[in-house]
Amino acid sequence: MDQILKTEKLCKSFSNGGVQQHVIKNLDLEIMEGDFTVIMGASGSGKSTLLYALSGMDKPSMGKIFFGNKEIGDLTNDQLAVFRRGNCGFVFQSVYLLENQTVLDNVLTGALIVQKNSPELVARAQDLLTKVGIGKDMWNKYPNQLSGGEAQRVGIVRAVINDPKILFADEPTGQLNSSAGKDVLDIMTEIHKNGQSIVMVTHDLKTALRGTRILFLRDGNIVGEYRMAPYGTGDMKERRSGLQRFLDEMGW
Amino acid sequence: MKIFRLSLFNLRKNKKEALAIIFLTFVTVFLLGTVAANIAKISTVFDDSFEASGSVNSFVFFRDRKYRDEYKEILEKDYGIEDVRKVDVLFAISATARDKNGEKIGYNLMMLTEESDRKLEYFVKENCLRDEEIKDLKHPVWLPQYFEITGGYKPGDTFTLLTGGRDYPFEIAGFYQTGFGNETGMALKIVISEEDYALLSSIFEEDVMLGYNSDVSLPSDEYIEKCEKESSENVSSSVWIMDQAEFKLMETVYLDLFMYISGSLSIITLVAAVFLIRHKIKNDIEDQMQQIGVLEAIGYRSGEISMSYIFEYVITGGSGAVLGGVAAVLFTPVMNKFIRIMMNRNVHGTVNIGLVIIVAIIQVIVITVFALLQARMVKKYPPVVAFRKGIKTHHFGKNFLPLRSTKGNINLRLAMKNNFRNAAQNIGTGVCIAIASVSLLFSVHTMIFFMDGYNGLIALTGMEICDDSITLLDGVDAYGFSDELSKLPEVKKTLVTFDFPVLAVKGSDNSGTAQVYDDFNETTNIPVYKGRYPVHDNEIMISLVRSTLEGYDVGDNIIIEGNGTQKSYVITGIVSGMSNSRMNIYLTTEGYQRVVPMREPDVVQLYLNDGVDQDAFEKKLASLYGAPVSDIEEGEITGSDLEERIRAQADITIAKLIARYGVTDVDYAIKVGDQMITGRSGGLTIKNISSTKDLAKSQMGAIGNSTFSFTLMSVIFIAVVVAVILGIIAGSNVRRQRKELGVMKSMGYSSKDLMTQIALQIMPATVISVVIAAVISVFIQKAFWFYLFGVAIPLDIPVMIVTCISMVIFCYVVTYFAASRVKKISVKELMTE
Repeated sequence: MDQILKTEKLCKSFSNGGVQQHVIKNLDLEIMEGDFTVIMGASGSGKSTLLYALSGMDKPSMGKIFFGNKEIGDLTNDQLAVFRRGNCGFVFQSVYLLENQTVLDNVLTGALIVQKNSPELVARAQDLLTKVGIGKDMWNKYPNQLSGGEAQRVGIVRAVINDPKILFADEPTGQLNSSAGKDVLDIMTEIHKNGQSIVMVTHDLKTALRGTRILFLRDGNIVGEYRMAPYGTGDMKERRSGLQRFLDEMGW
Repeated sequence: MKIFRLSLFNLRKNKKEALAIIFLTFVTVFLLGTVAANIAKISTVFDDSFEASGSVNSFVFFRDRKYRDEYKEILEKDYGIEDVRKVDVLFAISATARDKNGEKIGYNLMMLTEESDRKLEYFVKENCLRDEEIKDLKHPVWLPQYFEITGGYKPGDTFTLLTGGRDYPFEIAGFYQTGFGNETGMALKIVISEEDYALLSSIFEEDVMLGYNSDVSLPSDEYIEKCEKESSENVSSSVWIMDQAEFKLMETVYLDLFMYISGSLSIITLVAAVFLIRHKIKNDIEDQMQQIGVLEAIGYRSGEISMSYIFEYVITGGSGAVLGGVAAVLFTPVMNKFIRIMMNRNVHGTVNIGLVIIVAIIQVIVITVFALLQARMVKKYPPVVAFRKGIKTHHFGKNFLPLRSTKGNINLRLAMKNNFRNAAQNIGTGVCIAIASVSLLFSVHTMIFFMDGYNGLIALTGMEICDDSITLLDGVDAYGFSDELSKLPEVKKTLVTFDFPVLAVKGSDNSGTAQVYDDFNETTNIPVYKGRYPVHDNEIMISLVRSTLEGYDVGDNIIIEGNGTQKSYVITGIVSGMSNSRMNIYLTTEGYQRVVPMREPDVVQLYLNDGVDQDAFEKKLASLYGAPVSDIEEGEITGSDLEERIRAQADITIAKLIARYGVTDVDYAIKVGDQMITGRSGGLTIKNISSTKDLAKSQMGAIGNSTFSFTLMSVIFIAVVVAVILGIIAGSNVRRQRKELGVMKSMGYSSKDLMTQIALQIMPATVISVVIAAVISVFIQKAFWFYLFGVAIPLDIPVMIVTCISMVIFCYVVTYFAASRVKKISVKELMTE
């Protein structure tokens, strides 16, 4: 597998009332193409901060981030936005669909900034929506007319409509009930099976089980790594107990 | 108290918006307070000054030596006017003087002695030299305050009159307060010594003024008719009848105009403030919906929560009103100075604080009422609804402009989609921009019109404003003279006309100054507003004001009276012109001679080529055709030998005979020893040369410059107000759509994309408002120019188009940059909140 994302001595600190808080400390990390990387850690360990830094949503305080061979740490905010267009997709915990846009328009809003409108694009959006269980009758509904699970599924389609090189997900099932959460994870697993690289932050074991590479973050650095076979292959009980053991070792 | 704290919290949270509302309310109260406090003062200043001068309130002025004692008796007997005071004055129409910079300027001057002036008023001295200094002056002159305030003269300065190629320097003893004769529209009244009066009486025409006090206006046409009947002479063109009210109108019209414009500007800011407050309360409530739900859940009533928003605007609006009121009071000295400059009268008294306070209170009440109306929307959100962020944030409606049919730029598409969401805001923004645009178009149009000083006004006079107007002696062939002049290399064009005869119009109280030309196509400054020029002797054009007031239109017949004759004319055209009380009539030479058959043209109007020195050219004229009689009259007897000196004395005598006694032809033969010196008046051609352009400079220059400055300030002011409004709208839109914009950023929309979207969102409302404003401004400008100047201003369509486009671009640019706070939105913060 090729490396898709790499950090060198990545640092991120915040000033809080004049006191510097170092959240990420000299972190070296490689994300490989096709991996389903899950970042875990205790609250305040810097999971989300790392995710935002890796995705170019936030700038590192020090260190370098390479996306392929391109360093993105020095880009301006607008350059980062342009960079994100074709390279990154985002699934948020709170979904954040655009409330004034219909389901289909939410998906197309993400697409039309990257590519020109075409019947093929619209067909692809509709196809993806259908695949995640959002039928034609829902395409013209507004977000407030959707359930949480439906909204998150639309969010996933919106995130992948541009075929991003990496899909970033921040606690994508955090606000969903178990059934809706499972549906969302199934979709993400399916997307991963189709070759999509995913980096996901979660503190939920069930969610983490979907990953192929678990990174444990503590005090701003990766302190442990655990690899698993793609979800759906092998014995699930063993997969679960293996991950549990790893997390126990990490003091989770 | 907790509610009050919530208001303070909101204020602290949105300092920029709070400051913007304070600014707008400040400006509103400041402008409106200033207008309210000073519009009454303007009237009072004139009346007080007039009263303090002790001036008679009415007068009849007979020019052209047309006065007869019978005319005074008519006033006394027929109109029961007591104490009519007869005063001799020297009248110089379009007299040339040098201004403070040494440049030539034309004035209509009335010169009289102190004793004469005291018959008309108290002769109240203002700023002057000490008595012992005045005693030492050889040629003292007392000038009306116009010369001190607008002219910039000081006591002890030299005031120089130019006539006959000679300078007549006077030493300014001081300035005096006068009831009339302090404005350039009619004439400026200056007081000179008896010696100088005697000297100048050989140069200038001595006329008579009748002054009296009367509570009713003299019916001028009736009075003139009686005078003409009594004397069998045509005097209508030689009489000015004026009273205090007319002078007041002349002196205050521009100040009132500025006050009205200021008042209009304050209305813009008030509308903007009210709109912003409504917009902001709505946004705040939607933004703080969950907080409202919490407050309601713990027992606050919706009325109490509404009060927190109302308090917020009572605090901001109240602060702005107090500051604006204080500023209006502190601005009093500046306004006093402005009124003094515009009216040329000293201003006393303080500002009417009561009026300013009333304005401030009204402003706060208006703001409170509108805040109350908007804040009532809290009632729509009981706790559960509020927790769910209110049904308002939910959408069930039609999907306007679905993205699947996007063609072209996605930013434009999204902006237009959002535009449909914000109909109420768009209407508010549109109203603000429309009002501002009407004012902007008016100000820009007026500013550009006056950019070139008074030249713009000259174009609206509806009469020829030439470089030199040469009045010929009786018997001189004007056409022949005109032909000769037109061959001179300095001359661009000549026109033959009459010396502005006045003709009566049957059935009208308004006589008309006749503009008479052989071919109006040769004229420069008489544009036809409607119809066409008169060509035949039974055709006539009339002024726009006469057409409007008296109901005449093209194709109608009008009867003109002159020398006891009445002739009917067909109106072929309407001319928009502000000169001669806006009552000009326009006739061909043959047409004029139908009612005054014996009169021949006596004036040649000259247009000189660019760069020609007017002084040098006038000297050349004197060398070719003899000096004007008006100059010869006051000439000096020079020459090295006796014959030359005798001829010079003879010329002066002839000139006096011609100028004063209507003598048309003189031959002389003087025997000196064995020598016989002979001569005749045939060598004299020119009666007088005047420059209407120089006169226009003194009459219109100050108004042109001050109007330009005022409208320029208005343009800047409007730009600031529009920038504040759009800045707040864009800023609050960014705040309201923070999450949405953050999500779009995460999708790869750059800050520039989002700023573009926000700026494009207001474009439909802006473009529609500007177009509507352009249409409205056409009507407003037409009405303004007609009622103020009696003219139809030629609307400068390119200027209007450029102004409209500039307004749209300005709105776009301001909103774009005001939306730059979108740069501060961090996707990360959005997700971690």
